[in-house]
Amino acid sequence: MALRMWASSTANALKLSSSASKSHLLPAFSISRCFSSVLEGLKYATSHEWVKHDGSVATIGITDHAQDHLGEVVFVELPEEKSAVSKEKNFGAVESVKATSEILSPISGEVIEVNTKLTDSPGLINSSPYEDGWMIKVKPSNPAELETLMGPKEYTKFCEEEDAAH
Amino acid sequence: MVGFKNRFMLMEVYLDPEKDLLGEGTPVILTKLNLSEAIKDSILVNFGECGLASCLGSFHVAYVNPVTKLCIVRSSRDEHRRVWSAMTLVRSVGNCPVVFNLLDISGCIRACRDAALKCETEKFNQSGKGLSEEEIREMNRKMRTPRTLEVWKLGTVNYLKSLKLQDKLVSERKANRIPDTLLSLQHPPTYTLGKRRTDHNLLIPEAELKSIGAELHYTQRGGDITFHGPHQPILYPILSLRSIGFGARSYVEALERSMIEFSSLYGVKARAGNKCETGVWVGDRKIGAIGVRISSGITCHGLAFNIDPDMKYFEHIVPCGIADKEVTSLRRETDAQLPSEEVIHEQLVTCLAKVFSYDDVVVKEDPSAILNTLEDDD
Repeated sequence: MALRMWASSTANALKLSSSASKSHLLPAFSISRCFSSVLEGLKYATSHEWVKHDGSVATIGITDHAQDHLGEVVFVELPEEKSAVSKEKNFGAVESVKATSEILSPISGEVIEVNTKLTDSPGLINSSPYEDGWMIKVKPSNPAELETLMGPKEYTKFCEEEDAAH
Repeated sequence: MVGFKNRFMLMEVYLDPEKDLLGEGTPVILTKLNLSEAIKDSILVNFGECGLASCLGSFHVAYVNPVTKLCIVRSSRDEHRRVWSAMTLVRSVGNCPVVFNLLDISGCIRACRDAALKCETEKFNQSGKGLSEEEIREMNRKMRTPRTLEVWKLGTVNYLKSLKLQDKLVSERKANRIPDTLLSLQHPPTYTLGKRRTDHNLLIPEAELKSIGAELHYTQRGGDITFHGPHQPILYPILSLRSIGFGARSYVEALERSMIEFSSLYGVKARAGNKCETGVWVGDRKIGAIGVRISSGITCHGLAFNIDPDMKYFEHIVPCGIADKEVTSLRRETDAQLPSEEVIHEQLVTCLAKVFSYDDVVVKEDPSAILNTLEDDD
């Protein structure tokens, strides 16, 4: 039975129809959790942002899990360059399906670059959350904060537990 | 206030009933997720898609104890026999053969929880392990406390005042000082814009608004321009998304379902919007609007449903930025006799509480007093 459920949720996620697929009519099932990607080499926050630390520059964006739960992003609000961001404080917002969601910064620092492509193509966050959909580049003011974030395995487990709890 | 009737069933799950299970090493660990999937599967197989769809609204596995194999399952009163029989027919959870046995049914989760506690205490006593005070307290804590929705009925509220109130409630909710809260109200004629500030969709100059008796406000919510006014009930849920396990998209979809469910009470077949047209539609006409803001996982703003607003106000905007679609109201879509506005508001609240699986809906006494303590806007 477990295999059948997995197969039908795969079919649903891939938008294939199959005679065994029953889960398309069951909105209560959360099927996306099987397929959110989590990349190695990045650090993750419990509010579903990722940080890529490269020497003195940290790139920040939202994870695949987050963009999937948001839906199609139609608008992104980002801070100005040279503004400050603080750990676990809001630095911007995304709008999707008539809902604006705040994005919290996983680390503190100064914004050195902002992804201006997102103004015209906010959908990059959905299609490429870890690459073209990056949001801001920050000069970290306190590198120790990176240690408090989760690694890829921890984050995957965190997402699974969050999704399974309901 | 009991808006909808549930039944809570206390079940015991026997694992591997053929074999002798005195030793350690149970073949499957029972969790809310695998039990819920097994039961839903059984409903689908035995009662079809229609049966499953009608049960799904209130179906919820409230509590599972993998050690004592007890679980509490909630279902609506109308469907509980169906769910009960489906549970009896469940043959396996995961790969392990199981048999469900009903121990108790009650109408509220508290009675069920007491029965469960009594049963678990007996089991522990039987198996020779005494239960200390500490362990009993721990088991009480483990049982999920019923999810309560607190409702504030506010009558007609000025828009800015409602924004201030929502801000206050969002920080209270974030600090966990209040439970999930719902504001049920209406606004005087007001146009509002979302975060994208799409004021090109306002078709009359701002200066003229006063002459038609309306205000304009810029907000941080998602969505485009919309109109709020008398005879348009508005619900602002202040919920913790994490505690209900929703992301932005599933939350908005649940708001849509609440309005669709409400429309069906009057025989109006509403549907969710197509991609990029979030909201609730009857055919090509929009009857319900949604605009939400999520801040640190707490929601504010919410939904507005047209019962019988003055439709002329909608002519001054491109509603929600969608140019070629009409706006409609419940009054226009049905010939049915509409009850009083108070009843309609309550029905809308009940539909939302049902879709979001709240166990208890509590109407807060005299919340209008809270409005008066907010600082005046000068």
